[in-house]
Amino acid sequence: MGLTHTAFMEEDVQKGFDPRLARRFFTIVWAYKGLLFLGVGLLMVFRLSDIAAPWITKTAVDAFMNRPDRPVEERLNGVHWLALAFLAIVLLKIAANYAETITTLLIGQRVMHDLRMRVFNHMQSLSLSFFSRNPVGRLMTRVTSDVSALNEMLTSGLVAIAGDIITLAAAVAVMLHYDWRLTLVAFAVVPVMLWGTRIFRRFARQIHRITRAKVARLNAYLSENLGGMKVVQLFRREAENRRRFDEYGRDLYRTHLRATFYSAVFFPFVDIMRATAVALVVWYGGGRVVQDRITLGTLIAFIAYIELFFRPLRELAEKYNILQSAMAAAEKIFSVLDEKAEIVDPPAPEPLPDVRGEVEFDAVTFGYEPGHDVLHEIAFRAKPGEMIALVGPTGSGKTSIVNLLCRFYDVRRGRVLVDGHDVRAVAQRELRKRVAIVLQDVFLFTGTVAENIAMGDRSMPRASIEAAARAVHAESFIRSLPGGYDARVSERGSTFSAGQRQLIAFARAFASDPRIIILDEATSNIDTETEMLIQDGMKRLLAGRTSVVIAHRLSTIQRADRILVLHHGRLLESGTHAELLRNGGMYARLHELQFEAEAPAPAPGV
Amino acid sequence: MKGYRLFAARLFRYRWWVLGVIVSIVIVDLIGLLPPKIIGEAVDYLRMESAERWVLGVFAAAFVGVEICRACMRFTWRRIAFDFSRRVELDLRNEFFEKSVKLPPAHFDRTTVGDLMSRATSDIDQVRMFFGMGLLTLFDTLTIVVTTFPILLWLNPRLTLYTTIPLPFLAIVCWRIFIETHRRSRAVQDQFGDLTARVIENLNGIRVVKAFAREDTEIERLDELSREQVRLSMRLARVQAVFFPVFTIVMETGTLLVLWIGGSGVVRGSLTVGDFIQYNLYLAWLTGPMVGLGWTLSLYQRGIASMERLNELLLSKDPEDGAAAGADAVDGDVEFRNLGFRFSPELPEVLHDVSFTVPAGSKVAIVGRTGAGKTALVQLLPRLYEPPRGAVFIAGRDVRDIPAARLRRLIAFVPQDAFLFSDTLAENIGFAFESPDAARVEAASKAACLHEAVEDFPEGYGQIVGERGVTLSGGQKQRACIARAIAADASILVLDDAFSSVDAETEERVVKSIREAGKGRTVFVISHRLSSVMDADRIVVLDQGRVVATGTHEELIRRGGVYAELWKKQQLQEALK
Repeated sequence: MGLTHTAFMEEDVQKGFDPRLARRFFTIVWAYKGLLFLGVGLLMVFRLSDIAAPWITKTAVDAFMNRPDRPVEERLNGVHWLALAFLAIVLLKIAANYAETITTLLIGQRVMHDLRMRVFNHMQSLSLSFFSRNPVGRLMTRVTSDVSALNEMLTSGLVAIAGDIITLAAAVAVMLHYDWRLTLVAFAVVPVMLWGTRIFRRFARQIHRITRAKVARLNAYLSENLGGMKVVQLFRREAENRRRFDEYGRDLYRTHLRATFYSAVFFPFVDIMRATAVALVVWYGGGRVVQDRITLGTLIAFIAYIELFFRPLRELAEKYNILQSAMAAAEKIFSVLDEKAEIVDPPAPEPLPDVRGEVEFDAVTFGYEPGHDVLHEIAFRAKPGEMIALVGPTGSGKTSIVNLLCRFYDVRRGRVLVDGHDVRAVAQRELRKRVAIVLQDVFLFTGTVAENIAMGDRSMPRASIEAAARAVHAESFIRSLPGGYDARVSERGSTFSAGQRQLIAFARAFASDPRIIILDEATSNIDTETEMLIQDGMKRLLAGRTSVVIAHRLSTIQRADRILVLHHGRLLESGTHAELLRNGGMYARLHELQFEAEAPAPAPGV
Repeated sequence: MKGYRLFAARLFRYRWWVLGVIVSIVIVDLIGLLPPKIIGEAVDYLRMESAERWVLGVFAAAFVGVEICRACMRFTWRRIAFDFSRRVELDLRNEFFEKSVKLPPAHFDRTTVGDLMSRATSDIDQVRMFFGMGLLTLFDTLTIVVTTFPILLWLNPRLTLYTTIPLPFLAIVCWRIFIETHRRSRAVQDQFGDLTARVIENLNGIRVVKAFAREDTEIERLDELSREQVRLSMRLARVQAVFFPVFTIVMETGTLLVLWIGGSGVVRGSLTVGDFIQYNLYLAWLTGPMVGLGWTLSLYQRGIASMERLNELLLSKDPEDGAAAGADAVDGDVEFRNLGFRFSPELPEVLHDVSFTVPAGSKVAIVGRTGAGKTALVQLLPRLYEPPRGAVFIAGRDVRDIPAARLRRLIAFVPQDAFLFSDTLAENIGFAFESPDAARVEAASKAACLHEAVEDFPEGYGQIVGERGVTLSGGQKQRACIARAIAADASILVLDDAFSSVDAETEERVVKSIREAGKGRTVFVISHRLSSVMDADRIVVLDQGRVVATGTHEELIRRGGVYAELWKKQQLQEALK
């Protein structure tokens, strides 16, 4: 059974020319209007000098070479002067071409940089809900290959097309000027040519899309097999998977052959059209030379102009494809730029000076999707310096409480207050500077350990970084790394153990010196020594700060000033360990279970 | 090995194709000699007083006729050449895959998938380019030079001397430009990879970025990379932009000389106007292949480098396999005898002096902390890593003497990382079979407690999973892997921490159904959740690569020690989750 083809085609959308998108794109390009005008000017010089060369040959033939009536000396001189003129034009052409290429590519690169940063910038301001809706791979494409597609359109597409138009128009103008009748005869093939191009373009686009999908399928299959080779070998699937790989490969091979067929037909077709045009010129133009209506030089120039005319037509289909892909890319990019942040700062944010660290949930109801609430009327208050433990099964709403406190999402009803300020009334940054979060799955950035602790705050002195690491017991292991604080963190910190990542996360939170800490305690298995370090590091991190801890360890829970027991998004019980035991509710039942397990041993910490 | 020899063997293998390419090119190029001649003759004819239109018509018709012939031959020539290069690609890719599946699994720990993929894609592409366009252009150039050069000489020896001198330099300069272009564009691509990785990292860590209000730093960091991308791209642009001017200079110098010397020749009467035109056309025709020659040289150079990279894999020796091909089924007790193991000679031992026997049909649990050597131990059984000789036995036979394919048929393995293929669930569960039968898949799925979840999928077992299908939860993935192992119906089942994302209740159900379904099977289970190992016939406690205790659950609890402590701690934790 194969893979679905449709899945691969998502990324390969093509779109017809959309003036609205083009205009929008152009406003970005317009920022470089100086370079743009320079580029267009150079382009004109380059293309027009292309047109001048056949004219020189024509003049040489008509005025000197083919004029036995004039004195030899004069004719030789004329040829030499024209040769010099030719040299000058060639030099001009070369200079203009070089400068034009560099200018165009520079504009392309600058625009690409602008656009990339604009999209990335905008993404950084979007809310978490946007990121949960859109997979990473797709968003990454917006910043990378979609932007490149637009650059491609600018440099290979639009500029080349503009250049071709200049060449075509100038060639036709010169030809019409010399002899409009011959021009019409020469271009008699153009309608056939355009018709052929149209058909070819359609096939080319279709086959291109199919090819890309099949290449993607083949590569996906290969990379998956390489990644899961252990499984392939364990289940002895070598032969079968080889057979399938060969099947995909052969399928792609056949598609390639079909693609070759079209280009193998198209390019000779263009050649025949060009040859026919030349033949028409020789036949009809030759007749006119005989009748002395035109000169021999004109005829020769016509043959050269036909070459110039057909050259761009060969690549027209390809350029059209570039344009269409670029249009699709532009649409996707602009749709990200048009995305509105759901969580926005108020127009006049309340200042948040010295936060004491009081947290209050005031009858909070919340849901990620409309009509489906995951938190119902949650109310609690944490005094500055208090530790709140959230307890409850998966899906009970613990993470949602954390999300609201950081204002990753907004409440549906009720209020979340920090020091009496509604979190919606203050600037997000101000709020988040005072709230640090330690997630279970610690995310490390590539860079050094020190950078990870400072969280990119380049002004943070090394002493503070080291002090933070020392405070949470991370120092000894960091010192043992090659390079110590400057040790490189590889992609996502895969070289560190879970325990070490926890310690770095603690140091990170400590270094940002927040008033409020949110901590999702790790559940993963960590060896005993590290576990002890983590427990003590956590104590030090939380000391003197308000904390909300999603707790998994009994010792943590028992230390809390208040335990909130959540179930299905409702606050079932709250109180200290002792109070909850007395109440005989869900917490007490959970605790009883432990006693059964632990048999005669006394409950720790009670 | 010398570069050309790398290609020689391959060229010989495709000799008929190569011959086809050469023949068709020679024909195309020979036909190509005619049009300039026709045009030249037509022009000279025009200058005669008696010129008549119908004769011009003949010239024109001849011209078109020749061009049509040429176009037809060009079609054939493209077909043959591209077909050939795609065939080379297909064969190379299949050889690559063939070799990959034979690599010892340990190899995949050392190399990244990305590295192997870049060989399979861009390196094979490079070799294909050489075999396709490279060879084509090479023969094209040779034919054109061999045929056109004498014509030019015949038309005007002195002029030919001047005009053709720059051409070899053109080839060399173009070659250097192409090589430099390639080098610089590699730098651009590599840097683009860094930039992409940066964006992916940011998107993956967006929660942390926001929580720590780190957006500005992130923007700054990307800005640096993006600027570097602009700088490298412009560095590439500077060399790319040189190409056309160089080409034009050489080509137009030729035209200039023709105009100067040839023009003078026409005036002096030593050359006709028609010859002059012919000369111009032939010269133009010679210039193109010179650029092509430079290109071929660069393709050859890059192709060699790629072929060498590919050969590192293609010419590597297959790992030695157990040679003894005894037809008897190897099924029975598993024994570890004074096993010491290290992943590679320079690394320290991860297992020391491990000895224990597992009677056929019994269940053994291996417990211990992370890093105690549990996974290493079970991976030696199907020879995912090669154990030393005389250390691991099945039914009294050293696993090193059992061919890998036969050995692995005995063992169904559930690895730690739940890896599924982007294919249907049925294909994944029946992975041990070429075409799985539905009943077997469903039975295995039921045993792994996956069936209910599958019934919720719109397409049931036909549902595609993975990146391009529905996303399974961690627990579902693990259960699918367990089902895959159950379906394989092997006499030894290894569960390497196969329940880490499955909740306790489901784990218990799966363990129970495995016990029922797998009567007579030898089961190895590694689990952090002790509740699912307590029913094992024997529990082996590993610590720092050594066996520190063995016994049943009751025995180990009674004895106290590491196991008893772990047990107590977990009982508490479980209660609170």
